[in-house]
Amino acid sequence: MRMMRAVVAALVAAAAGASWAGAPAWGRQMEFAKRLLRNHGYADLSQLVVDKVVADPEVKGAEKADLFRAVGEYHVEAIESIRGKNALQQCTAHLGEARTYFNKYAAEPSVTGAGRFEARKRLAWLSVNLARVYVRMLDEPDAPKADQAKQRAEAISVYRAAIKEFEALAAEKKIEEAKAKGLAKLKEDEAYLRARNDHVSVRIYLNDTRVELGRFLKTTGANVKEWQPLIQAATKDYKQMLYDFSGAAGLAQINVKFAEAIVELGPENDKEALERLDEVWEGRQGFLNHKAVPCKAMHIKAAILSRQKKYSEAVDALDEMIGKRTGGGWDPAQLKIDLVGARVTDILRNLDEGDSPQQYDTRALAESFVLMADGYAALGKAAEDAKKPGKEIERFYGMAYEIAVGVWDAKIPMDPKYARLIQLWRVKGRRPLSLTDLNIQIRDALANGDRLRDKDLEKSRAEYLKAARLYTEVVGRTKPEPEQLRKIWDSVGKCYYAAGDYYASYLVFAAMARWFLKPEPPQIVAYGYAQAAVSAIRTQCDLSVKAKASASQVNFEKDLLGEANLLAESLSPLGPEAHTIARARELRGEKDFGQALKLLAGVRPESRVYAHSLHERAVTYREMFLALPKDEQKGIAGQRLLKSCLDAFQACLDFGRKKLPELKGDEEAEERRRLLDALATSLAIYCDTLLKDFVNQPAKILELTSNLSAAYAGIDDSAYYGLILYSRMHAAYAVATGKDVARAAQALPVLEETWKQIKELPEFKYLANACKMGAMAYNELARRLEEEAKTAQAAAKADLEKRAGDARGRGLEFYLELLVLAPHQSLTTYRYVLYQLDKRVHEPKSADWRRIVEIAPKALGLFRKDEASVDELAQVRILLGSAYCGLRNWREGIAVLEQVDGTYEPDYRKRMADYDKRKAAYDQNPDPRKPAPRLPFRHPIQVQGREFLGRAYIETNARAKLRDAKLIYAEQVKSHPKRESPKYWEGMYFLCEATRMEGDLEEVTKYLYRVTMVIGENTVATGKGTVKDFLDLATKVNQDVQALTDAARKKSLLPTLDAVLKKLGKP
Amino acid sequence: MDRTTTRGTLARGASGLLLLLLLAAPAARAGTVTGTDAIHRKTGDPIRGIITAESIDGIEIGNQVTIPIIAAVQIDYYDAPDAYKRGHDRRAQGIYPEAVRYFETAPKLANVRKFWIEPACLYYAGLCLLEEGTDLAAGEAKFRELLQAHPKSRFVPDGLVGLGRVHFTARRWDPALAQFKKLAELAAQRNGWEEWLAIASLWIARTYLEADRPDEAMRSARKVLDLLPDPKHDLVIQAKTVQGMVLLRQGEPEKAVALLRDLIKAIAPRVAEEIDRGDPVARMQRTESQCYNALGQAYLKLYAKSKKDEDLRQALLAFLWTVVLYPRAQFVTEHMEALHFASQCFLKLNQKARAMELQSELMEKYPDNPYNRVPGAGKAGAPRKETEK
Repeated sequence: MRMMRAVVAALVAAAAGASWAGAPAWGRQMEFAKRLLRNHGYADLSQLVVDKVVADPEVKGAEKADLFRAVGEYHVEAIESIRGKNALQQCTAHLGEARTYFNKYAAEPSVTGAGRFEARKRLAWLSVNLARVYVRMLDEPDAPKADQAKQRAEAISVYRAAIKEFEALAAEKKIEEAKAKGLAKLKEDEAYLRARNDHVSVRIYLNDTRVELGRFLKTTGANVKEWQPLIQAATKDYKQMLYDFSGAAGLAQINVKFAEAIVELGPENDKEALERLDEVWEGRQGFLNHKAVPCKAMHIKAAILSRQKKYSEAVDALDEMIGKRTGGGWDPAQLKIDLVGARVTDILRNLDEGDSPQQYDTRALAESFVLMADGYAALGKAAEDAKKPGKEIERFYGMAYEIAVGVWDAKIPMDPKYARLIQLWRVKGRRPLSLTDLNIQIRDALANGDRLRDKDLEKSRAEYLKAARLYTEVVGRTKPEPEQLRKIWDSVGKCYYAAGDYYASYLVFAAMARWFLKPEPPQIVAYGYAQAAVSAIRTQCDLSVKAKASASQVNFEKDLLGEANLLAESLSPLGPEAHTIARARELRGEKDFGQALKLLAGVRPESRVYAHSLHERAVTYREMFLALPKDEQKGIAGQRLLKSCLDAFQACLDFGRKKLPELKGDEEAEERRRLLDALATSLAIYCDTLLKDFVNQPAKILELTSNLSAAYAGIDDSAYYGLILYSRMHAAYAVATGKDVARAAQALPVLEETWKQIKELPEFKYLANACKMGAMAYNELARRLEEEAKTAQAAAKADLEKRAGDARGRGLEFYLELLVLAPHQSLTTYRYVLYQLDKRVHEPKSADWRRIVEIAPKALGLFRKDEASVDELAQVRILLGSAYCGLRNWREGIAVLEQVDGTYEPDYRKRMADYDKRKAAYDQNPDPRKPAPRLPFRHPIQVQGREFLGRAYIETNARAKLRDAKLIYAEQVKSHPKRESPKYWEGMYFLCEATRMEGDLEEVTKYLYRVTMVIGENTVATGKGTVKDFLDLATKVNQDVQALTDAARKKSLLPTLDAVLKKLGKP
Repeated sequence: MDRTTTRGTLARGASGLLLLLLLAAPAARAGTVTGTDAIHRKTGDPIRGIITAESIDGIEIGNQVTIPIIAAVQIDYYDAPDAYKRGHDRRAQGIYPEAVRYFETAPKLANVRKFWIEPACLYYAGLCLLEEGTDLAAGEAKFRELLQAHPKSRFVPDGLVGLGRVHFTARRWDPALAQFKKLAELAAQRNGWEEWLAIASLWIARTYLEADRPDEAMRSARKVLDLLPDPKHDLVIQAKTVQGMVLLRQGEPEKAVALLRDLIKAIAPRVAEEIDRGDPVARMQRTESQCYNALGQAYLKLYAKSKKDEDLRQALLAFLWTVVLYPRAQFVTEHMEALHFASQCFLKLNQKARAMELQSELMEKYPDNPYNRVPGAGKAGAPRKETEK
């Protein structure tokens, strides 16, 4: 988080002076988005709002540019709201988005001059921050080693891109400054000063970035030759700037930056750096309005001194700086050690101009305090090593502890390592445990618990347990307000749960549920805690049963569960009798059906839970019936139970239908909703029971579920509504595919009507199943009609076949509707639909092909990366390719079919190479005991794809592809050598055609001659490759030969061709 | 329609010099008069003089000139007693019990022109009691006293609206309708009272809406639109809001969504203006938050039909608008409603943590809110705090 804030601070600093005129049309929407993110952390919803604003077509022209900029700013601000896992990845994404929008802003024609310069500067600065995020990723404790090299390379590349952009900007601004200087009459000319300021700022950014990259390369172990030139370039340029801008107000800042850069080149430069930093500090009176410069100088000086192990001097330097910055507010010599922490917190909380980065703000000062704490700790260590008196050691560590705790108390984000260090310093400094200390430990424990949860459950649990104990200690040591106390105990309960101590968690939540009844009874909160208590003790109970714990322990925990349930149910909105239902449910779970029914019998019709009790009674009878052995289910006792079950369901529904109209108005709306929920649940399970084999009464379901909305107004809001509709669909399907043909026909309209209602619920879980039922019902109808057609008279036959075709078409329509409503269906479903569309007889067929062209790419998009379904995907591609070919869109078809070919070709080549190797070996050393290696076959899907591909090559008449077409057909002929196969003749025909199109008349004549030798065996009647096709082809070849100018060639070809034509039966 | 406030310092410009000359003699006769009142109109400089009588028909200045009451937007009385001014200050700060005390004290302590101070104080005391909402009976008594003791006062229409609003807040629909209809009849008889007629119709529409009589509500709202041709008029916007709610109740959420979206778009610039001005009344902001809540309800209805998560998300965003942008004390009713329904939307979207977070906020901020009595309770809700008009 610290990092995020740093990024935002840096970016906001870079945006100084940037502003846009907020347009009311979208300005408030952007404000809304920002507040959603900032106040609530709803990143997803906030992004939705932003996307909508960006897509608004009414925002045009200059306003559009402003909008782009505003969205860029939004993404920068969004970084601060990032929480939890993958924070850095999210940060990268936001920076990427910010860059995109600033790029768009800069590209807008209305943005010129200063606006464009600012945007480019901002873009480069965003790159720097992106690089910083990559750097931070390397520091992540859980970062995978494999990604580190990539992240390092990314960071370097982005840094370099930023440097390049800053260099370009600096060069431009240098020229602008020179021009403005030439034109300026006075030294104070506004245009000149602006150009000069821009130039200086860009060069500072440029050199800062060089130093930052150099430092990063140095710390990650890069070669000196890599990092040194960068820092040298920066120091050289800073030095040049010190000459160029000798009179400028920002010279001291450049001096500090120069010092900061040269120390990176080696300790030999420390002396010069310290001199320069002292010079800046001494001249601090001159820039009172920019306290950050001298303060930063002293901070760097202290860091250099610390590196030189001159800790005492470093602490003194910081003391002096902080004293001056706070106007004498910091003088540790005058403070008792016990008060140091409070003083630090007070300074940081009430720092004058503490939010101004120019004045060395709170954050910067906190960093100086942390550096000081480190210095004291180092002094303590040195004193320890030198075996100095214990009091001195304690004082140093004590100071380190107090200062660090003071910073923490001021709620300044600190590096997580300080949680551990603060403990160490407290122990060594013999400081008493404080509340802040406890909070630091809690935060550390929670962070560790969260981090370790997926890696080491035991360690993670130990951390959570530690956090729970620390929270308890906080309660013991403080007197929190009731609301705070609630939050603390809430955390304790959750920590125990996360630690796996479910019993302790139960105790906490149960106590909270009771405690919350007084003084204020927000019942929902108490009920929530009671439910949490039930959940905790139930988990414990399950674990004990699973671990086969002693019976006494299990019974004890079950008793507790019972108590927790009683507590929860007493708080339940269903009223005090709710526990009867819950208890009955539990007894049912324990198979103590008699006791459950006895309990339920006591619920009176006036009770709020009467409907629930009837439902529970029905479910209990159902369980009792199901618990019987199969043969007993059919016996008298079984059938009696079944009847009781169905009667109880019916009674529940009857009661509800009567009761519902009595519940009117807003006052009873809640009561009505609860009753409806109970009825919907009951109806759904009743229908499910009626569909089971042991009842099998689908017609009854149709009766129960007709006019649902009239009988149970508002039931469509219930969670079970979809399931009830689904049961109705299922029942209609069962009737439609049943033996009774007359009733089957009546069920189809019900099926249609229910499907129409189900379609209104596109996110319904069983939508695909419902669709299949519709399709299968119509397919069954088609099958019946086709059966009938087989024995029908000719006139009736045509009609029956047409009706069967229509029924199949309707079946397919169900699937097509499904794919539109809910495109996330299985690949098998997609393939089935496409296959059906391809194969069915339909007029015009082009409509089906167009639908294939529409649907198939969606399927390919959804399952593109599904490696397990390579064959299915290839089949979808073939269907798509053939549809393109059907629509005579050969080029698209070729692209798709080549993908199919490309999928299988490498494997075929590999097998071919293997074959060649084995064949050569076999030929060299033939072994009569082993069979000779066989030529490998292509995958059947590839063969199928290649057939379409060959045809498409020929149809496009692309000369470059004719050779491929010939290879494909030569292979086809080779694979189907038998003359009775139409594939042989088709292959021969297209082989001849491709050869003719290539212009190789000799070759085609040879092929035709070969064909005529066996033409008597040609029995092909449909498709390509009939005798007539060959005759037409030979006639075309003959015409081509006749047109030849080369007499000798003509003379050599004509006799053979004449013979061919004669053989093919030319009149 | 508040037309009476006081100003600490009266401008003493040269404008209205002629009128002053005309009024000089009666003023001198009055003896005790030391300043001038100012009658502010919609346009032009304020008219200055000594108001000597007020009635439904007009304001008399010096017993010679009568200015129609409808021409006055605001009146500054030079001798307004201190308690009266303090009463207004407290009312503006929302400290209603103190304001009521001052308004009750002002007529007793001050020996000023009773014809305006008494009805004015009764009206504002009633209004404060109504806004406070804890003692509606006392508010009702104030308005009744105003109407009975000062039947000719120019505060009569205000009093009728006030009394109607008391009944409206107490969910007594028939008496509320009776008062608003009385005002409508009064306004219909007078020339230039179209705005009062529109106000009456608007309240009638709101009452019908709450009384679950959507057709009549729609008719009354349409009447407001017919009366006022300016589409940007406050009353027109509020009437359209009522229409949106009616469409919602009539089970036409698609149309309600379209209407409310247009409305929100139309009022957005006015809301922005109001925010820029820092207007404490925040009438347009309240209207906007109500429109967004209504839009949320419309999308919830759509969701109930379509079961599409997208509709639910749109409903959620509409409620969140008020949650995020209107968390101030002025918008308590709207904020409570938005918090509750946004939390419900999150629950339906299976985002329990977020739902609980909003539920906690609702409980912490408004422990007495009507939504927390039972989980999921809702439609009975709090009575709507309508924008004062």
